[in-house]
Amino acid sequence: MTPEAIEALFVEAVAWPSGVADFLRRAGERTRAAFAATFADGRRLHAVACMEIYANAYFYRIKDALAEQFPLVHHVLGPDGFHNLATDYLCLAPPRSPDLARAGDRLPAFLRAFAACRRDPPYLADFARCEWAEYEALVAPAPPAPPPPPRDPTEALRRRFRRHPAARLFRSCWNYAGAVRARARAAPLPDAPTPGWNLIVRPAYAVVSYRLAPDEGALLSYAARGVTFVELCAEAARLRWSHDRLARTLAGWLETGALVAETAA
Amino acid sequence: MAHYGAILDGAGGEVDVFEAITENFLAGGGRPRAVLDALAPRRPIVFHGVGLGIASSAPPEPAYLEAARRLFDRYDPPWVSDHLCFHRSGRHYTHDLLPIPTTHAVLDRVCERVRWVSKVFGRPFCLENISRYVAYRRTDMDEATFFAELVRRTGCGMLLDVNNLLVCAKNLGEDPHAFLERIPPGSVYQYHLANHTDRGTCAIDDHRGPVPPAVLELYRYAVRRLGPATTIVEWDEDVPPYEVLVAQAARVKAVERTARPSRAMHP
Repeated sequence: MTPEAIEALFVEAVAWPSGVADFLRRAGERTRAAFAATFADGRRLHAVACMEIYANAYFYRIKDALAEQFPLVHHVLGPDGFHNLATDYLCLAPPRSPDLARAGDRLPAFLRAFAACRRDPPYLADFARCEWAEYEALVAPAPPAPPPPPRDPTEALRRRFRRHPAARLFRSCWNYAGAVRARARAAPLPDAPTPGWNLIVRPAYAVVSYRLAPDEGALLSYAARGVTFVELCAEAARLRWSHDRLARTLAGWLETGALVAETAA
Repeated sequence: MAHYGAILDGAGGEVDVFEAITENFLAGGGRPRAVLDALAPRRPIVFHGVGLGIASSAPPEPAYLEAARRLFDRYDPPWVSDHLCFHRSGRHYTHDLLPIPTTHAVLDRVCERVRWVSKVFGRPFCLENISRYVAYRRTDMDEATFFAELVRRTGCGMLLDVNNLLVCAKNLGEDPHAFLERIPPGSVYQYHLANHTDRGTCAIDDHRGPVPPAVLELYRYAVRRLGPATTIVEWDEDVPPYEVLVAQAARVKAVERTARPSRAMHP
C-alpha cells in the first residue's frame, strides 16, 4: 500500500462512528485484507483493539473541545444529546483545520441546516452561532490604537466608526444573553421569540454578551459599516432617537467594545 | 491557563524556560497573546506544535505555516518543535498524532518537509517521538534508525519524549534503551517528561500526575548517553497547584545533575 492509502485506511477506520470493529464488519473483503496486512497486534492487544484507542481519542478529543466551546448547546441537549450531535456532526462535517479550536466552525450552520429533521429547540442554531462568536471574540486581534482627540469640531464630525475586531452582532428573535444568565441561575431558557439583536463583545480579555432592542441593533449595525458621525446622527434622527439617547448609546458602544472610532480621513 | 496569574505575578523564578503550544497562540489576540507578551521579556519561550503533521502525504497548509512563522518571528524562540507523525487524510484532520510507517519513502518525504519548514520558520526545528498504540507490519527500519537518519540528512533536532518511549515499550514491546543507543549524541535539543496511565491492556500517554520513577530513571540514562538539554515536565490532566509543578521541575533538575553535571548543549 502507498503511504496515502495507509493514511486513508487509518483515518477512515478511526473516524467510523461506531468503532473500528464495526468499520471492518461493514467493509469489503479487500479493505479487511488491507487492514490485516497493514496493522500488527500490540504486546497485549489485537490490532483492532489498538486502533480503537485512536478511534476513541479522535471522537472524545473533538467532542470535548466542542462541549467546551458550546456549553449552552451542551446544556440544552444534555450529555447524551450532545454526544449524538457530535457523532452526526463529525460524520457530515469532519475537521478541516489543523487547529482543534476550529473544529466547531461549522456547527452553527450544521444545526441550522438539519434543524427540522433533528427536532432541536428553535433557538439552538442561533445560540450555537453566538457561542462560536464568543470563541472568535476571545482570540480576535486588539483594535487599532484610538485616534488622538480631534483638533477641531469638523474633524470630530468626519470621524468614522468601525466594528471592534472582537465584536459580533446578529439579528435574532432568541435572547442569547438572557439564556446564558438563565443557565447560570439554573432557570428555564426562553421559550418565546422576541425581536432583537445579540451582541458579543470583548472589551478587555473577557467576552460579554448583550441583548439589544431592535432599533439599537439596527443602528449599531449601520454604524459598524464605517459611517461618519454625521451620517450616524442622520440615521438616528430618522429612527426618531433623541440627541441624549444617541450620545449615551454611542458612548456605551465605544466603552463596551462594540465600536471603535477612526481618525477622520 | 490555570497558572497564568501565578506566573505573571512573579512566580516562575525557578523555571528556566516555558513551552507554549503553537496552535493555542496562532490567533492574533486575546488573553493568551497578552500573557505571552508579558512573559517573553522575562523567560525564554519555546513553541511546540501539534498541528503540523509533517509526515502526512498532503503538505502543511500555507496559511498554517504563515501564521506559525508570524508567531515565531514575534517571540523569537531559540527553536521550535512538532511531532514525527501524520494527522490527516486529504483534508480530514484527526487532531491526533498518528504513527507513521517507517519506510524509506516516508523518510524521503519527511526529510524534504523538514528542510522546507526549517526554512519557513527560520530557526532550528525539532521533531518529537510520539506515543504509539499500533505498529505496522511492513517497515524498512525502526523508529530510532528513522530519527537518526533524519538528523543526519537534515540537521533536524530531536525533542526526546522519555515517557513516550516507555509507553511504546509497554504497548508494542519496544526496547527504550535500544532506541536511545541509536540516537546520535548532541542531536537532542529538548526532553519531555510526563506520566502515563497503565490500564493493564495498554498504556495511555495522558500526562496525568507526577513524573514516575521509571521515567526519571530512563531520563537519567538518556542524559548520560545523549547529553543534558532543556527539559519540560508535561502535566495536562488534573493540573496541580503551580508550586507542585515547580517542585517537579526542581526534582528533574536534581536527576539531571546526578546524570552528568555539565552545561546544557543548547540554549
